[in-house]
Amino acid sequence: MEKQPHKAIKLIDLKKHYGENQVLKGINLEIDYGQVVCIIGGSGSGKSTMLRCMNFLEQYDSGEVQINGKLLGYGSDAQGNLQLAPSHITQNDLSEVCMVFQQFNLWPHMNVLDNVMSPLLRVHKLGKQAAREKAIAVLEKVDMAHKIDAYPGQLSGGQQQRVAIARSLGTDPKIMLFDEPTSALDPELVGEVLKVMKSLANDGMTMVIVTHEMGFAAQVSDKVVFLAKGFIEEQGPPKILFTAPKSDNLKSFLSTWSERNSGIV
Amino acid sequence: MDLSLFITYWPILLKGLIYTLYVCSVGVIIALVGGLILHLISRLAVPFIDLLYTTYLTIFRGTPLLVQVYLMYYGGPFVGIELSAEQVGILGLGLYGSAYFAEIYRSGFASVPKGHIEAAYDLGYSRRQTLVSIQLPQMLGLIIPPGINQTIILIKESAILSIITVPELTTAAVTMSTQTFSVIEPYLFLAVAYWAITFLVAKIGQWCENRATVHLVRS
Repeated sequence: MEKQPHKAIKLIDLKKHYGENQVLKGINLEIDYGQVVCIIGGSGSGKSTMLRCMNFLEQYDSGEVQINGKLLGYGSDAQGNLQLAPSHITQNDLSEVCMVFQQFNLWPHMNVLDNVMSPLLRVHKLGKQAAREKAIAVLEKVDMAHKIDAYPGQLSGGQQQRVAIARSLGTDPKIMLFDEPTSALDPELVGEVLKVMKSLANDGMTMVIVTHEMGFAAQVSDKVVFLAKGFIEEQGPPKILFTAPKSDNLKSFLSTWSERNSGIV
Repeated sequence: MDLSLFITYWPILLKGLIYTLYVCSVGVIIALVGGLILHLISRLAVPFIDLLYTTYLTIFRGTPLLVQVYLMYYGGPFVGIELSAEQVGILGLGLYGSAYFAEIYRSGFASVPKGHIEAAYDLGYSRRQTLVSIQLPQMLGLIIPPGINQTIILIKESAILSIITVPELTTAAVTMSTQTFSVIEPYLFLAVAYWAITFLVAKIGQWCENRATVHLVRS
């Protein structure tokens, strides 16, 4: 991958609260283009909120989110004070960022092909033929081209998630965010989604993945970030982080996880 | 039963029937559009507008249609609003129905999962595009059954307009009854006619519902 002048994503002292509850207490994180970063942590640690701030599905309270060097969601007025940017500017800054959701969020009233084609027609203004070709190409990539006429309700969770990934891919994202993409799936369906994600990682996609799949995180990620109570407690290459955790929180998080898994095997 | 009465009265009854169809069609269209506008305005979440919205609903859902059209037709001239019986009839049905349809739209919008809208924004849809191609089509299947129900109620309520001399179906039957001193024939005819209209509306509604919910059919 060619060298980019800016970080794909840069978080500077990011803070966010819901009422009394301070969810993010000052997050600093840099993600390069081409990197695969997995975010792990217990529930309520702020993983999903952090991810949702990265594409402005949540407004953050203070600090900065930069996408490709540009401040996201805010601009400064004549006096230099930060103001909420108009939504079309924010959307433009986010045009290369796409999210894959835990609940897939395919549109149930459209079949598979229309789900993938619709953003291409409406947002990217492709012609019908071009949109169709592109949609089929990305569906082939996730091995779902044989189901173009099916409605989401007729598909398994794993199939729906693969279509959702294709829908994102169709818009040519540079950065893909995954919010617990396999957490809503039956165990036997997790593998097919992880396989698709692995192939994306091999293609050099910049990926930020909130996940509970430690094995997957260890295999594909360049960096693992451990979040606890709104802070990044530890981060580093998976080899080091998983084998030699420094903080007590991470140690207990990992041992809980391996206990649960060794019990099965 | 003296069916020969209908030989004399069928032109009046037919005219009444057509008039009812006309008044109801326009009234329901006003109610459908008015309800949507009311609902969209209420989504702006401005306190003053919320108050107006609630007041509108309280007035038009909280009082009988009979009272509303009576006030509009006979009370209107006292405050300088002079409308014909036909205008009051159509407007009355429209304003009354709008209040109910607004709430039907509200339940429809509320039923579209937030994630589907987030996905649209995430993929670059504008608010308008999200409304038109994600929210409206999804809620359509859900609001058709209560919408048809409400339409049927409005059609039956339109009989009330005979009170303010709108020359619709009920007025025609009442005319027939008073002129011939017959009761069974005109009112039985009236019952069958309203039933036939609402039956047809229900059938059309079912067809629309099936079309709007194709995606809910499981393989």
